[in-house]
Amino acid sequence: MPQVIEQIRSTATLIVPEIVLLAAVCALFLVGPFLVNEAGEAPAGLRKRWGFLSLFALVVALVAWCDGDHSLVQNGLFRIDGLVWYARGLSLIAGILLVLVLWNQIDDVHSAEAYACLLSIVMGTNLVAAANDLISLFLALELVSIPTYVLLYLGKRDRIGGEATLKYFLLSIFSSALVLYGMSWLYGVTGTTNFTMIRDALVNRAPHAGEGLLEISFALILAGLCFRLAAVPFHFYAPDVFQGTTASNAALLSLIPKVVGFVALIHLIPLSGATDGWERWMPDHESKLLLAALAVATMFLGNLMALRQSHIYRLMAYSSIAHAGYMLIGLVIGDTAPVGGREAILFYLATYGLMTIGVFALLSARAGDGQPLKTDADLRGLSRVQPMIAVLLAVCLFSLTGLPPTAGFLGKLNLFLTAWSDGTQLGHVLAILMALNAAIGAYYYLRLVALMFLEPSAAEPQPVRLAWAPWLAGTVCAVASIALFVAPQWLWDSIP
Amino acid sequence: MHWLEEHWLGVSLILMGGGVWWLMPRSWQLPRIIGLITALAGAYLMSWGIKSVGGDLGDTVMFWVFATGAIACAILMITNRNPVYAALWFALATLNVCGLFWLEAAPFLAAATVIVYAGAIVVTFVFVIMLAQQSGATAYDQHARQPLLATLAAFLVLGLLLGMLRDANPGDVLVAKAQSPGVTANLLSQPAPGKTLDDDTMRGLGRSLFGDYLFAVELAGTLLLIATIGAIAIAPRRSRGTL
Repeated sequence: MPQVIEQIRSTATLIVPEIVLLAAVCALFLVGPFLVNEAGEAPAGLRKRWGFLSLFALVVALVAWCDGDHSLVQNGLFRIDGLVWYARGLSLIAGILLVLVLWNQIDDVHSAEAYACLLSIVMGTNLVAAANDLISLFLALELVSIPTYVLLYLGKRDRIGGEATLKYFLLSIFSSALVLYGMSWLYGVTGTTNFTMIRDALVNRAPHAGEGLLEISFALILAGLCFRLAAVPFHFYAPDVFQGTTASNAALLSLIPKVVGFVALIHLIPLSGATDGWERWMPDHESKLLLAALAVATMFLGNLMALRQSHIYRLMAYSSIAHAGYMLIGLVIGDTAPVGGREAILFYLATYGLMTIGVFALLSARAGDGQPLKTDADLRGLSRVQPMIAVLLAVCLFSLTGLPPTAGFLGKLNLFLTAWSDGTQLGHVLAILMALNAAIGAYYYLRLVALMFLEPSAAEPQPVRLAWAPWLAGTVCAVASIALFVAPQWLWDSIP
Repeated sequence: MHWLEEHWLGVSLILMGGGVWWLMPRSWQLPRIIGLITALAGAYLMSWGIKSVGGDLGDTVMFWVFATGAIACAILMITNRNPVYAALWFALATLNVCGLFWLEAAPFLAAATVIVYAGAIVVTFVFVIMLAQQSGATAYDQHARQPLLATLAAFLVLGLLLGMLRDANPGDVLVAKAQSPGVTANLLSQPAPGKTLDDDTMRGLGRSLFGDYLFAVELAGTLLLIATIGAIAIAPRRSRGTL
């Protein structure tokens, strides 16, 4: 019996940051409702108290993350390695920024539930990275999506918000079912749910055994996870949902599902490709073509549709689709190129997180007192009214475009080099198409910058007090985008 | 007959798909029995092509009863106009599938499926439908939106899956080695001393669930907590009107 307890304890040590977050989630969920009275009124400023509690929990989790041992540890359900270390850091820091963006976007009554949902999304993201079993992976994926539904509805409770939530809810459930069905085929072929044992079974199989069944499982899992990446043709929800929801939710939706989707694909694709993990992984010819077609369609559709948008959230939704396309190129190439595809994706995720959270934070920084910035007309002449916001927003938009001196340039450069250094014709074509798309993208990002700086302001300049929390998050994002351009090496070195 | 042996998959899919399409709710209703018979004929042709492995007579009879029931109830469920009936057909389809599980010697799975699906979920469905549709059935229950496209897509996917399964050999199912380095089974999930896992299935399952998969069970519990409190938070308050 002591041995059993020892085993449970040793598994628990693998997921200390997540346990910290879980404790905070339970506290928020179970205490929160008691501070709201029967009539649905909460003491003013309650959301700030919950916000500070969430920040505290995230910082404690970060400390646990720093202290934890991330050399390769594997057990039944969880496996800790460099990828987990990186993904944890990424999601915890993104979590802190997202808490700051959420600060003024939620009413006091629902703040406890909203922050708890945000923390459980961060927890789920970490667990997706740490999963070493189909069961824990699926539960972790759901731990991201179910709180997202709640958060989407709590953020905006009008008719458009309800429609956006319902669209996301139904399509997300459908995609989860696809992933689960794909996993069940994988389990049917290999007879186990443990990644290590699946890999063993695939490495030791007779040549070409079970290939068709594995292809089906790969296609189903890819289809389900592409919903999270917002890759074409699974992107239909993105523009409507972004337009119908708040800035904090849009920031969350543009980053976290992409982190989750790519990390899960990094876990699962090598299993269906049946080699010994990412170290020697290269997609076979058919999956390569499939992924390349997805990447090209996603880049072009995202960028071309974004050209026509005048609502900034909608534009950012198409931009997030386009960025998913860029990152898919890394998956096409795999780890055979001199510049590895996985490293390029993980680097890009970090830089993309900074830019997209930065844009939404700055758009909402004024929302506390003045009107929220939502359309082209709101941005017109912003540099006269709010010079600081305009400058920082311009930095984030430059980063999204991929212009130096911002981190977005390095992210795109890495992906380009990955595709080019692959040396195949497919790699060259993808690299050229990506450069072409970056040029298309430049038009609509720079149009926004021109609107802010070159057009006259429609309204009289009047001083508007800024909300400090989203303002802080936006500033951090913009400054970090430039800092990462100056010193990218430490981030690059930390990628496993 | 020879031709049929070559093309059983395509023919059976077309028959089944045609039957389902025939049954789809529209403004002009075709005689339902024809569609159902066509679809079932397709299903039988399919099972003839797949050539199920025979057991003793009792098992075979039970298999045909449950399989026919499952397919017929599933077709009636997706083609019924009345959501309450559809929910009840769903319960029947699930019960039939549970019968198939039982035949495959998976009593726990069968019992759990009966309790969860046929019990809890269908009751919830029926309650929600009755609460939400007090004014009677709505227009979107009366007509299928895209009967042809939906049927085509569904049977294309079915055909793809079955085609892959037809081409696969039983030897394709890879068996993972019981012991891999780095993966240790929890002591709790080992059979009790002096017993094997076979005569101790339920006990082994329980031990595995709360031993090897203890953290997965806890994660599922967290998920339920979030879903429950999230649902309460989403629901409008009594003081604000509705509910």
